Amino acid sequence: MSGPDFGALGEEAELVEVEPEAKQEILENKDVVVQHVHFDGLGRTKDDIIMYEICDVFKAKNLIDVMKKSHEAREKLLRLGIFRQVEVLIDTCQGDDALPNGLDVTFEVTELRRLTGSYNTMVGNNEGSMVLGLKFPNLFGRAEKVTFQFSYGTKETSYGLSFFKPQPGNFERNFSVNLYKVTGQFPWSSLRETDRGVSTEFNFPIWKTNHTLKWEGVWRELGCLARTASFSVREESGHSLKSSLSHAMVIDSRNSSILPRRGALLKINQELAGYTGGDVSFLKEDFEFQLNKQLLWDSVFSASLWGGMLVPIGDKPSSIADRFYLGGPTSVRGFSMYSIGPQSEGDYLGGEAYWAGGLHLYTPLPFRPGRGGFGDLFRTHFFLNAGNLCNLNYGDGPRAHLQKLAEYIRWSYGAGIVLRLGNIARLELNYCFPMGVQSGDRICDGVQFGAGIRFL
Amino acid sequence: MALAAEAFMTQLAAAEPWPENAALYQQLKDEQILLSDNASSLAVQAFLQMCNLPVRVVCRANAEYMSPSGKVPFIHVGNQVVSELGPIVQFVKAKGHSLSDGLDEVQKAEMKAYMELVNNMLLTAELYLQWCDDVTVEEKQWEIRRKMKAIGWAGKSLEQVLEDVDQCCQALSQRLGTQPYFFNKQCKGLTFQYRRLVPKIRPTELDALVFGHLFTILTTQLTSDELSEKVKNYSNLIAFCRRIEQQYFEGHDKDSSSSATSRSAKRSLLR
Repeated sequence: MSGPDFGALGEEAELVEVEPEAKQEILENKDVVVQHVHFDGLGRTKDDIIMYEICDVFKAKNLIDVMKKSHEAREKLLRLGIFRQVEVLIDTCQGDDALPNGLDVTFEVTELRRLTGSYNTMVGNNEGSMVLGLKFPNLFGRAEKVTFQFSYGTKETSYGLSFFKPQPGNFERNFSVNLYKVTGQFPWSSLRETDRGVSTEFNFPIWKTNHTLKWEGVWRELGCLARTASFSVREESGHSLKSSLSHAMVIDSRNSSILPRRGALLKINQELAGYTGGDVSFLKEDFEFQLNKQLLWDSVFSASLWGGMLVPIGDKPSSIADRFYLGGPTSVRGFSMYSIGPQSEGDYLGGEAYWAGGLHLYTPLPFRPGRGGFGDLFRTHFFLNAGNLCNLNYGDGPRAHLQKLAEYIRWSYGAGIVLRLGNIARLELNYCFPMGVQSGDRICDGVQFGAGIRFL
Repeated sequence: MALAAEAFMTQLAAAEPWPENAALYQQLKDEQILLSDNASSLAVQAFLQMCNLPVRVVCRANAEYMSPSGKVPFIHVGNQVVSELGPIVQFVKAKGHSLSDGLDEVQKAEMKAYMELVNNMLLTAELYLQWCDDVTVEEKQWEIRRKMKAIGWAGKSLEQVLEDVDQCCQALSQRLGTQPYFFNKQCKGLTFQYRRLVPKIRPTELDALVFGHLFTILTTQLTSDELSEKVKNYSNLIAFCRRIEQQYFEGHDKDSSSSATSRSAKRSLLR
C-alpha cells in the first residue's frame, strides 16, 4: 500500500525508462556495483537522515536497478520536505579504487531556504482578513518543521503554531505539537465557536495501515451568532474545557484522494474525552469507507459509507460542538449545509448518531472536449446519496438504535459536473432531487454548488 | 435601527399573554454568585412578584453567557429573552402590566433618578466590598476587578465607598420617610389592613430594586459587617425590607429561602 505520492507531477509515479542505445546495450544486464554515493549541496541537513534514505541504492545489482533505486531514493528525499530540488547523476567510477563495473551516484540537492513566508488577503462571508504564514523547514537539520499561521480579520483573529518532527530513517513515524486558536461561525446553528487549544499527535505505520494517536486540550467558547438564536443554542453558550485522547486508523489503497480510479479507503476514528481532565466526557466513534472500481470506457464507479456515534459519559448531555451534522453539497446533496435532523426554531442542533452513504458513477465529459488537457480535469457525475441523523436513547438496545436510524431516511439523486483542483480539492455543480425530506429539514433542490476536500 | 427593533419586540411581546412556564435564569447559588448579581436577581424576582406574574428561578453555571447582554438575571418568556431590570420592566409593560402607570411625569423622573442612584452607589459598593472580602474565590476576584475597572472605582478607598453608601441610604431613607413604599399612589381596589378596608397602595419597580439590594446586603455574610452596619443605621429601610419580604416572599417559603440569599445568609431579617 502506498498513499498518494509526494511531489509527483502526474497521478501516478512513472518509472524512468531508459531507451537502450547501441552503446549501452552491453551494460544493460551487466552486473554493476555502486561504489560511491555523493551529495552536493547539503548545508544544514544532517548526514544521518540522508543515509537512511539512500542506503538502498548500494544494494543495486545492475544498471536498471541502479536507476530504479536512485529514483526511489530521490522520491524519498523529496518527501522529507527539506529540498527544493534533487537531481541524480549516475556515472562510472573514476579514481584509484575504481572497479571496472563500479558506478558513482551523485545526488545534487538544493535545500529549501531557512525561512519562507507568505502573505495573503482573503475576502469572504462578509469578512476580510489578512493571512500571514511563516515556515521554517528543516529547522535543526533532521527534517523538523515549524509553521506559523496568523490570520487577522475584521471579525475574528486566529492563529496556529505547529512543530513537526519525523523519526530519522522512518519519515512515516513522526510527531507534531500544535498550538492554535480557531474561530468558526456556523449560521445553520446560529452558533459561534472559538477554540483555543494545544494538541500533540504521533503518527506511525503498522503494516499497511497508518495510525495516529493524539491528545488534545481545547478551551471552547460557544456563543450565539445572532440575537434571534433559539433558546436551545443559547443554553449551550459559555466556556468549557475538553481534554481528549483519540486514535485514528487509515488504510488507503486509492491512487489519488481526489477522483480516484481504483482502490479503497477505510478510516476509523475514536475519541475519548473526559478521562484526562476537562468538563466534557464522551466516547465518539466514526468511520469512513470508500470503494472505487474502474468500469468500461474510462468511467469509475464509487461507493462510500460514513457513520458515527457519540455516547456521552455521565449525566451531562452532549455539547452542540461535539455532535455530528448531516447535509450539504459535501454530504447528502440536495439539502442545505448541515440542515438535516434535530432542530429548534430553525437552528440545527446536530445529532449523536448518523450514517450516510453514496453511490457515484463518474464518466468523462460527453463528447470528451479538451481531451488530453484541460478536459481531463472534469468529470460528469451521477449520484445517489442517503443518510440519517438522530439522537439515540442509550437506554434502549442496539436493535432499537438501528430501527431509529433506519426510519425517516433522507435521500437524493442527481447529476452534475466535477472539477478537480490539483490533488487537494474538488468543485462540484450538481442538479439534485432531494427525497425523504422530513419537516424541519432545509433543502436545496435544483442546482447546488459545492467546494471541498472531503465529499460523500 | 435599534428603535425599530425595540418597537418590533414590543409588538411581539404584546401579542401573547404571560405564559405559565416563564423562567428566570441566574448563576448557581454557591460561592459563584456575585453579591451584585444576587441583588439584581432578587430585585427582578421582587418586581415580578409585585406584578403578580409567576416565574420559576433556574440556576445555571453559564447564565452569564446565555444572556443576550451578558448580564444576569434574564427571563425567558415564550420565545423571548430579556435581561436586566430596565428592559424587563419595559417588556412587562408591553404585556400590559405596569407598576408605575399611576405616577405622573415628575414622579416618574424622580423614580428613574433614584433607580440610577441605587445602581451607581449600592451596586458598585457591593462589588467593592466583595473584592475586599477574603473569602471570595480567585476566579471571582478577577471578574470583580474587571467590572470595577470598567466603572472606574478601583481607585477608591474603603472609607470613600462606605461614605457613598451612607449617603445613598440617607437619601433613600429620607425619601421613604414613614410611608410603606417610595411612591404611594393609590390604585383601584381596597385591601384589608388593621381591621379596616383601606385603599390599596402598590409598590413600584424602585421598591423592587431597593429591596433587592438592601436585602442582599443585610443578609449576606461578608468578612466584615461594615456594609450592612451602614444600612442598619436606618430603621425605616430595615422595616421596608421586612415588609416586602413578608408580603411577597414569605408566601412562597421554599422560593424565598432558595432564591433570596447566597452563602451563609440569614433567612429573615428578624433578629
